[in-house]
Amino acid sequence: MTGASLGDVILEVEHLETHLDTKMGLVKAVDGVSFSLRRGETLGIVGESGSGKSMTALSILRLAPRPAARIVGGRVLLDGKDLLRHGAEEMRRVRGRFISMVLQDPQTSLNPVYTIGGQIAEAIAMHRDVPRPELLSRAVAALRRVRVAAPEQRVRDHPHQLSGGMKQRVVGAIASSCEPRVLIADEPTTALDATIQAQYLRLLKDIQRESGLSIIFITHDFGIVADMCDQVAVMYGGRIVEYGPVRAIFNTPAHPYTQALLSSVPAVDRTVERLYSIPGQPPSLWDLPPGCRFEPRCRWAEPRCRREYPPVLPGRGAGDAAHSASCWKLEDPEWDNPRC
Amino acid sequence: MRLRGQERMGTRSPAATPLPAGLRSAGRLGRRLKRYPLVSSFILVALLVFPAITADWLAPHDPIQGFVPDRRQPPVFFGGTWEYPLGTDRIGRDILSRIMHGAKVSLSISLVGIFFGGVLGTLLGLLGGYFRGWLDAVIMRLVDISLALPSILLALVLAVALGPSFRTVILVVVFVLWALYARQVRGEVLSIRERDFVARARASGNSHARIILRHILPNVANTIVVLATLQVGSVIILEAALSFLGVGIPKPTPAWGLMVADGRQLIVSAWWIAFFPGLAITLTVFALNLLGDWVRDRLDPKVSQV
Repeated sequence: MTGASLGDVILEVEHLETHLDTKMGLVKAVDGVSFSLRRGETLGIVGESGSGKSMTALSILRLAPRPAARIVGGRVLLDGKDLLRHGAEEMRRVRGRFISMVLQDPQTSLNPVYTIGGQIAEAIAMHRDVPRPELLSRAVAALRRVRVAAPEQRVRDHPHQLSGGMKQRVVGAIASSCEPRVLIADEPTTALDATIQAQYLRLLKDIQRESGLSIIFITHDFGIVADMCDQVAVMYGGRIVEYGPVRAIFNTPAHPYTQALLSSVPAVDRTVERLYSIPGQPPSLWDLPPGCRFEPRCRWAEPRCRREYPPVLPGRGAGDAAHSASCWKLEDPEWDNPRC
Repeated sequence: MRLRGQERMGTRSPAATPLPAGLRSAGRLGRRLKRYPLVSSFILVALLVFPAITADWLAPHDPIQGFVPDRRQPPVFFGGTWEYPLGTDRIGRDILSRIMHGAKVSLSISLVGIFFGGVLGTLLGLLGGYFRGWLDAVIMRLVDISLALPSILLALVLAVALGPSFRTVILVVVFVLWALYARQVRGEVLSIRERDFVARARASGNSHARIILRHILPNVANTIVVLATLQVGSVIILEAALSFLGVGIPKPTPAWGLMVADGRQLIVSAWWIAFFPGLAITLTVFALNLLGDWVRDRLDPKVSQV
């Protein structure tokens, strides 16, 4: 999908901050994250474990685990209305109806005691005024939409009777049953094998094309990002360190972390002696330095990186589209962030 | 007295070592009873439910009004007559009739007590396990308190405060039982609430109440049923013990524990007064425990997979 065919901004996240109270102290799990999502667009959020990807997603739906997690600042605008100001009941009506979610593990995403049909019907009944007898045929239709074979039989099955890929499609059917505006997919294919994964991604794209759905795709797989996303946000230590169109991110990554990540992805057209791996460990979030969070592991680290967090600077990617990153090195026009 | 269903798990001895002939046949009988759950169910029905339901019509004598000239009649095969098959007590009341009516008492106490204790404990366990935080802390401390108090002592206090009555016994049973349900259910909810289907249910717009009742409760239902079945026997023993001590069912209501207490002083001269109600307690609890084991084996995946 190209930028020109994309519609209006549907979801806008502005300086979202979510803090976690842990035994070790306060953790700024999401520390001022901003992005916007247009109709029909797919935004990929990439980052390693603990970078705040999932917490960002949960915070958008206000489902971050309480009482530990608190959203302490920012705005989440859905069609211009701030979700963070919604009451509990209003928020409940947003979930599943306007923004829905697909989680990582299909094995546990379905309630083992109810039939597939019952669970889809429940999701529909929650938000739509559908007469009871019609619910089952709606469930069958939802299953058909996600290409489950023989949906009339499958609605009577219990989750344990389905394969993992099938379950994940059922979860997709539930998530898309009320025709939401935004789908948050939190590593939906991590638990699936490669073939099923490809099928599932194609399915998501088809649903998107049919309904104009916007997708936030959380993953740590750059292959999926290249395949699925229009925009990419790279997260590190609770912040977005680089943000831009997928082409720009892949062709001219602006942040050293993005470059390092790309260098550590194996490629079929490139033979390397030893695959690159980023030295050091992800930062512990309860003891963050004032400066750049990637500084201890960065090849380009300078003294000021340690002192001061870099501002958001324009990247060098694809012309008009906004491409930005937080790195002091971008102030130097000579620097071209070479491959690791 | 502690009512703990789990404790019995340890007592199932492995039959690896050769046993003396007599014990071996007993073991075989035990296995047969286990293998044919209908047998144990029939014992249960025959011993408890049937006499309880039919006592009003089938009991040969009035359980409360005795015929004093016929007092201390021995059972039929020990010099007595068919008029009083299990003999009479010291004021001439028919023991068989009193045991039949006593079954009604035992059964209703267990059912009502387990029902209220189970509902209360399950509810609190669900709330504590789901919401955690201070609510959970408060509930679990109450559980600790309840489990630390000896039930007999509690019964004595309640009986003194409220007077011994059916209601007091129910209260004691509820007080002893709720904590077991709360602890067990909370533990399971803690793990279930972390599963993705709960998060998914939240993400598709379910309210907390709906998630607890529609999505989590059905997943702990097995545990509750198993716990309840395993407890019937223990509750009957508790009720009998309370009545025996005079803080349970008040006289002259025919309760098994009360009857045992009644015959205690006469155990040498008229042993049948205490013996038959005691036998009724033993057999009933035995049958109920067999049934409880069977239900657990059928419903608890952890045991049935072994």
